[in-house]
Amino acid sequence: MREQQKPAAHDEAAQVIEQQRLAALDMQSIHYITGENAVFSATEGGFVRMKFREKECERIAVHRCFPFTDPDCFLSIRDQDGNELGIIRALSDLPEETQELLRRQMALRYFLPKILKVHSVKEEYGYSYWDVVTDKGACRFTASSHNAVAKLSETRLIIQDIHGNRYEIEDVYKLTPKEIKKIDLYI
Amino acid sequence: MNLRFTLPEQEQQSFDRQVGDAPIVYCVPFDLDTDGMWCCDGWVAVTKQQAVLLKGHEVVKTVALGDLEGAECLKQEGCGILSLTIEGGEQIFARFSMTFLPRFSYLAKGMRMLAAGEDREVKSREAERVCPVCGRVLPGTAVCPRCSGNGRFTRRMWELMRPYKWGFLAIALLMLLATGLSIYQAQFQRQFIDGVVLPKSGGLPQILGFTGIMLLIAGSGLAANIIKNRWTVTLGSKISMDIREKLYQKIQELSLSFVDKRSAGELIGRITWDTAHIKDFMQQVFSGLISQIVTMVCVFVIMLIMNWKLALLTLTLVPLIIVISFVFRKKIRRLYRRQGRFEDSTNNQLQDTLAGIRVVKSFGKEGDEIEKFQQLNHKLADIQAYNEVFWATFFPFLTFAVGAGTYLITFFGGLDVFGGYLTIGQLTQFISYAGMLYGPLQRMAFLPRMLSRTMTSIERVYDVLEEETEVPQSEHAVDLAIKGAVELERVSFGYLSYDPVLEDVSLSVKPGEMIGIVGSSGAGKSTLINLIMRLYDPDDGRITVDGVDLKEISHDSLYSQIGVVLQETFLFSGTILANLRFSKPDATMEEVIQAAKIGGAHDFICKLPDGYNTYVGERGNTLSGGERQRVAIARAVLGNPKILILDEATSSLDTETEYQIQEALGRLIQGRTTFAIAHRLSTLRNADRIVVIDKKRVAEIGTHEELLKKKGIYYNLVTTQLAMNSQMDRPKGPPPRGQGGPGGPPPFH
Repeated sequence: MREQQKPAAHDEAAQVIEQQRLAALDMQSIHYITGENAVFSATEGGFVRMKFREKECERIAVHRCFPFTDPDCFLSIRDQDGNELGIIRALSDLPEETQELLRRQMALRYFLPKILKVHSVKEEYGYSYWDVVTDKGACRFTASSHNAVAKLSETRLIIQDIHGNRYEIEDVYKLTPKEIKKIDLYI
Repeated sequence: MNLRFTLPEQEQQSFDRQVGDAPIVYCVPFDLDTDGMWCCDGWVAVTKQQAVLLKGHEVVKTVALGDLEGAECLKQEGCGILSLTIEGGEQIFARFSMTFLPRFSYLAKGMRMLAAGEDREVKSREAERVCPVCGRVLPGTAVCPRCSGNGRFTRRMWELMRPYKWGFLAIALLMLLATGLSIYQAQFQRQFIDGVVLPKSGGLPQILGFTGIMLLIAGSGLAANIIKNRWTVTLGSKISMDIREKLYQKIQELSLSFVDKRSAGELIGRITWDTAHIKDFMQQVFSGLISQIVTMVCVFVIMLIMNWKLALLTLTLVPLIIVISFVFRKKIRRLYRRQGRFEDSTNNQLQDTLAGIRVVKSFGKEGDEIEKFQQLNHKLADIQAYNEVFWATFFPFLTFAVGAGTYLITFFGGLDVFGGYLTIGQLTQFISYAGMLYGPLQRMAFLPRMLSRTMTSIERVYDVLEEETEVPQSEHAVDLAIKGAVELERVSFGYLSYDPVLEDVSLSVKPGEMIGIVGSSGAGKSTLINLIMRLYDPDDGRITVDGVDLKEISHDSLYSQIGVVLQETFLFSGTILANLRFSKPDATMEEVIQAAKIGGAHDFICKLPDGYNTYVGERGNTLSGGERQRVAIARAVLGNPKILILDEATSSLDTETEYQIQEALGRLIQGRTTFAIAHRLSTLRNADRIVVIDKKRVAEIGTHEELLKKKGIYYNLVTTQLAMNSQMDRPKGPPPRGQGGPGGPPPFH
């Protein structure tokens, strides 16, 4: 059927429509990027470029499809304008150095400090002021007292501060009872 | 939002050494190092010539703005990157968390402008989220209520009270009277005990006399209190009415960009809750607090005079009572907060499953939902029971603790009575005074919280009242009889000034011309008409009507000559007639019907049982989308506007009705300058010229035929829409052929 439509190409109007239809079809299919069909390299500025299906992209962005449950699988690779170029099924399928390259790129893109220690949580007029130690270093942040905490599971929490930074508590019960009591009001 | 921080001393010294004394235009801190760890010693400083990166108190990198080909703030997940393009390559300049992302967006824009040689400074209109002095979150205000000082607070309180100062004076006098009476009552009791009861002197007349006087004192105290309370409540209500009125007026006058920054809910909160807090505070202060403080001071002075040792003993317990009440209140608040939170989540769960009951049932998940709710419900019951038990157990303790002072006085006072230092009457007086001293104390434990809440509320109210109207009317604004020539000269605008929605848009429209505006969603079409309606002022460039700058045209004359039909038609609760007359309150019935006919609304209105007097509910929700749109068109028509703005005005109508209304509108737009936005291009067939907005700019402009010949964006849009229509006729057929000769424009009219 699709083959039969080709002769219409001389009609410019039809050509435009055909292009748009193909683009729509293309958007619906998954293009897998593998170690064989794509070449990744680091740019001097600290980004990653990729050559895939004859197209070269100077700065790719690596989007995790399942950042919480499957951080290293199904990585959507996108260009500067946010269009998807392809999907990597599993990072471990790629050569070592490419893995390293993409890991660094993901570290650049995803910033979600994990809370390891809670020094104090103070409550004042609708906001809670946290003093914590994270895997990215010690920090203080401020969250709304209402709906700042999202429960990913019974034990895993995400806290969003007033600027939109997010902090993760991987397992509430790994905190000390004292620390749990400090954050008890919010969970 | 501050974009020019002051560098710390060490950093400044390093900057001076390595960069020189070039003035810093922008300076913003960043908080992530290259490995993505938190840091607090990173700065980006920008002069007119260079971008300078400081880290670890030293200048570590400089980039000449002359070499800069691009500067972008890339938003990542939870963080951001300032990326600079130099010699064709993009490089990471600085990393930061979301805390600094908005600032770096402005900074990037500022750097691009400096690199392009523009001498304008980017300024942020957004307010800071956090007080730079105390680090507390600002309650949506420009000034921190807790750092602004008490002077500001009292001054504003006084400002609100001043119109009623005589009323407040009268209340204060009554308050003093009532206080004096209650103090005197105890004094009088003593005289009665020591002078009449104990010596058993006198008979029935004396007792009757004393009782009478006691009754009189109590009665007048009661009367004074009642009058005082009534006056306070009345004054409080009047003041909060004043504030609400002022607030509402100001919010109406303020430009949309102020309202945009705050949600409708927040503004409603300021009008209702914040004014209520202020009223509560005034009432508490005037009906209770001041008299309580006066009472406590007077009572204590009298106690000192009577027996200073016993008085000091009474005083020693005061801090204890304050501490106990404070701790108790804090604990209780925490418990009930937790309960409230849990109640909220139970309610949410209920809301969720009841609203989605169709889904639950269609997936057969009733059992799961019942179990989920039961768990929550049991836990809630446990929490409630615990809290009630706690309250029931400890509240009597609190009362006891407060009363404990009285027992102490009874004991030591009793000893004094036996020693002959004190009469029984004096002891009774002392005990009642102790009660008057301790009683208010536990009630005053809430004072700090209340004071702080009121300070916040006052700040939030004044934040609106003192906001300067962003779209002010020029002082020499003129009334203009608009002919309809509209001219945009290099207009740029963004809701956030670092994120332009329109850039460098120029457009010249002749009187009576109809301009069709097309473009993908989010391209800036609606923004363009918002600017023409002067809901916002452009950041750059200017808009003129008949050669007069929009800012120079008086508010009334501008809006009385612009008619608008928006995508979301908003009707107010009221009758259809009232809604139609919104644009012209003095319209005659004939005019109303004529307008409704043009808008295609007359027929359906006549079929309604109440005709034009039909009451439409909130937002017009008793009418269908298409009906609302027709009323809105009629409303715009009724004002007989010289400039007509149609933003997807017929999108909610079925094709047949749309066609009819388009026909009617076709007649209507004769002699009126019209701007029409449409996705369905066929509705623009009457347009004299079409403007295609793409990527923030005017991409194409011209007549339908001209644009088709151009084979650009508009051509693509037209062919796609034609294809979609023809595919509906032939779902499996090939794409349309012969919809126009090869290369020729597809037939459209």
